Amino acid sequence: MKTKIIEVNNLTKEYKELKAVDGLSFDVYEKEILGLLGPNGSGKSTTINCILSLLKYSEGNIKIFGKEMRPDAYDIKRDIGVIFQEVAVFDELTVYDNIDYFCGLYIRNKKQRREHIEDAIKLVGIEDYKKFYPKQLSGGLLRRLNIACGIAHKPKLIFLDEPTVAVDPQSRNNILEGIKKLCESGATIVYTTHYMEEVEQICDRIVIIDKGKIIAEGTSDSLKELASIEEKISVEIDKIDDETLTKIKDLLTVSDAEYQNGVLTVSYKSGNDNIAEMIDFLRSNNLKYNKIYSERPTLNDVFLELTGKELRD
Amino acid sequence: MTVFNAFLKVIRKNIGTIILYTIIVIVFAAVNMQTSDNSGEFVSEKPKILIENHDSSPISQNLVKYLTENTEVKEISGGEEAVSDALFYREISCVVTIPQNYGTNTMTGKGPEILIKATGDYHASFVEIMLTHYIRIQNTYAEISENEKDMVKQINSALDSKTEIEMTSELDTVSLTKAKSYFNFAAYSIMSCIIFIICLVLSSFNHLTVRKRTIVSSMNDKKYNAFLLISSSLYVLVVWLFFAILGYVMVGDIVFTPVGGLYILNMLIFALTSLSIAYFLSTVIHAKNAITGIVNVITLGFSFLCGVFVPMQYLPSWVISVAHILPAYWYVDTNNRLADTEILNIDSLTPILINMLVLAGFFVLFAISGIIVSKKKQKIA
Repeated sequence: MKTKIIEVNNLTKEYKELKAVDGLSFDVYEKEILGLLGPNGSGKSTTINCILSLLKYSEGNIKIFGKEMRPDAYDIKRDIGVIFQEVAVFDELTVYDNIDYFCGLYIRNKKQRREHIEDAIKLVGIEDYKKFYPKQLSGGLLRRLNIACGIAHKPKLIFLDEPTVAVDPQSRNNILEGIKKLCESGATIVYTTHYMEEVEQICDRIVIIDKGKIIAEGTSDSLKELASIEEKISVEIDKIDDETLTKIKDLLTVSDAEYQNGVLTVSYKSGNDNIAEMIDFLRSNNLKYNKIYSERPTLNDVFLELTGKELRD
Repeated sequence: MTVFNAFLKVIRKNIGTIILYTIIVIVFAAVNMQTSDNSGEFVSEKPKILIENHDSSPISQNLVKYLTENTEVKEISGGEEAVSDALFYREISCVVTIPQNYGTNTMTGKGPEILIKATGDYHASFVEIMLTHYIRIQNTYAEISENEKDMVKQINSALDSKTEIEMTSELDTVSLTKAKSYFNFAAYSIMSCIIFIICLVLSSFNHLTVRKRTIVSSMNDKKYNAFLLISSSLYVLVVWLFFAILGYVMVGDIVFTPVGGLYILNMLIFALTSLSIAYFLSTVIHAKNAITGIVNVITLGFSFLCGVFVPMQYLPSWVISVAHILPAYWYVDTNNRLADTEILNIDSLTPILINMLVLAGFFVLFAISGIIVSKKKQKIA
C-alpha cells in the first residue's frame, strides 16, 4: 500500500460570504505527481496556501508526512519545497546567490549546500547564467531560476503552483522534464495548473476543481471515460452549409457537430476509427478539405461535460 | 548567517548610493565650515575713511588725531569724482569733512557741523558712533575750558580713561561652530544612508513573494526577524561609526572632549531613530520605485524644516513650531545647544538630555508603529 504524504480532509476556506474552498478532501501518495486542475479562480492556489499554512482555513484538517500541518511545524517544512506562481527572487542577488540564499534557509552546511545548488542549476538548465542578475534573464529563465530556488534543498514534497504561466515552449518543456526527473528521484509533487495538456503529460493522478469543489478525480484515462464521447474528428474546411452539417449530425454514432473558424468538429459517442467514415462522407458530398485528424476526448471535454463550460473560460 | 550574508550582498549592490551621500556630507559640511569660519570669533577691524580738514586749529587737529588712531585714514587724489568713486566701490566707508573755523566756533558755542558722506554700511555707522562720542566730550569741555589748548588736554584726558575687560570664557567657539556645522549636515546623510538603504533592503526581504517563500521554509520566523534586526542594527552602527570618524577628520580633536562625546552620542540616537523610521516605512512602502521619491521627500523635508541646511535662527517661527514634531529638530537643537555649552553641569545638561530623550521617544514611537503595521500585514487572512 502506498504511503500517504498529504491528507486533506473536508478543507473549507471562506472569505466572508464566498466559499473559495468547499469541503475538499483528497490524499497525495508518495512519489506521485498529483495534478490540481481547474480554471482560474477555481480555488487551486487557495488550497495550496491552506495546505502550506499560509492561509487560515475555516474548517477541516491537513496532515503532511502523517503530522498535523501548522505555521510553526518547521520539522515538516524542512522537507517541503514550494514554487509559487509569481517569481520569488531578490533582484540584487545573482542567480547563484539567490539559490544559495533560499537553500540556506534549510541547509546550513556550506559544502552540502554548494552541491545541492549545482544539482538544482543543472536540473533546470541555467548553468550558463550563474552570475547573471534576475533582471538580465528572459521570462523563461527567470521561471527556471524560481524553480531552482524552490527545489535546491532536495525536498521530499514539492508544490508547483502554475510554474509555466507565460513561459516560452522551450522553457516549458525544460520545466516539465525537470518535474518528471524530480519525481523519478523520489519526490512527491503537487502540480496546479489550468493547462490540461501539461497535466496529461506529467501527472499520475488528477483532481479537477471548480468553484472550490472536487468535481472529478482519477488518472487521465479514467477521467476521460467520464466523457460521453469516444472520438473527436476535426476537419479544416473552407466552407460548409447548414444542410450538410445537419446531415453529419444525423449520422448514427455522431453525438454533435459544429463549424467554427474554418474547422468542422465532429464528436462521436462510440468507436475510435470513425475517420474513414468521415472521409467517405466528405468525398461523397464533394467537400474539399485541407486537413483531417482524429483525437481522443480531452480533459477539457470532461470538464465541459461535468460543468457545462470550458476549462479556459 | 544566510540572512546576514544576503543582507550584506543587497547593501553592497547599493554601495553607490552610500558613497554619494557620504560625498554630499563632506562637500556640504566643508563648504559650510569654510563660509562660517569667522562667524563665531572676534576679529579686530578698522573702518577706512577720508578726512577733509578745512581748519587748522588745535581742536580740529585733535579730532583728526583721534580719527587717525581709531580708523584707517586713506588719501584719495583726483577731486570730488574720485572720492565718490571710492565711496561707491567701498574703498572707503565715509568722508569726514571738518569745516573752516571749526575750532573757533566750538569755543564760542556756535556748534559747528561736521559733514559726513557715508556708504551706510556698518563701518560708516561705527565712524558716526565714534564722532558722536568725541563731540559729546568736546561739547562738555567747551563750556569750562579757558582756551583751545586746555580744551584739547581735557578731551584727551577723558578719552584716555579705559575700562579693563578680562575674558574668562575658554570656549573654543571656532571648533564648536565647525563641529555644529558638521554634525548638523551629517543629519541629512545619516538619514539618507540609513532610511534609503534600509528601506530598499527590507523591501527586498519583505517583498510578498520572497516573504511567502521564507514563511514556508524551515527557518523559524522569529529567528529570521531577529537576523534582519541584528543585520540592520549592525549596518546602522557602521554608518554611525563612519560618520563619527569622519567627524574627527573634519573637525579635529573636539570630538574627544566631553562635548564632542555628546555630539557623537546624539548622532547615535539619531541614527537609531532613522533606523526605526526606515523600519516603519518599509512596512508601508512596497514598491521599490516609490522608495526613492518618498525617502527624498522625508530626508529633504526634515533637513529644510529642522535647520540642517539653513540655521534655525534664519527660519520663520512657524517653521520652527512645525519642526518640533520631527525628530531631526531635536537632533539639530541639541547640536546647537552643545555649541554654546561652556561648562557641563546639571543645568546645562538638562535641556540636552531632555532633547535626547525626546529623540529616543521618536525611536520607540516609529519602532512600535512598524511592529503594529507588520503584525497586521502578517495576518494574510
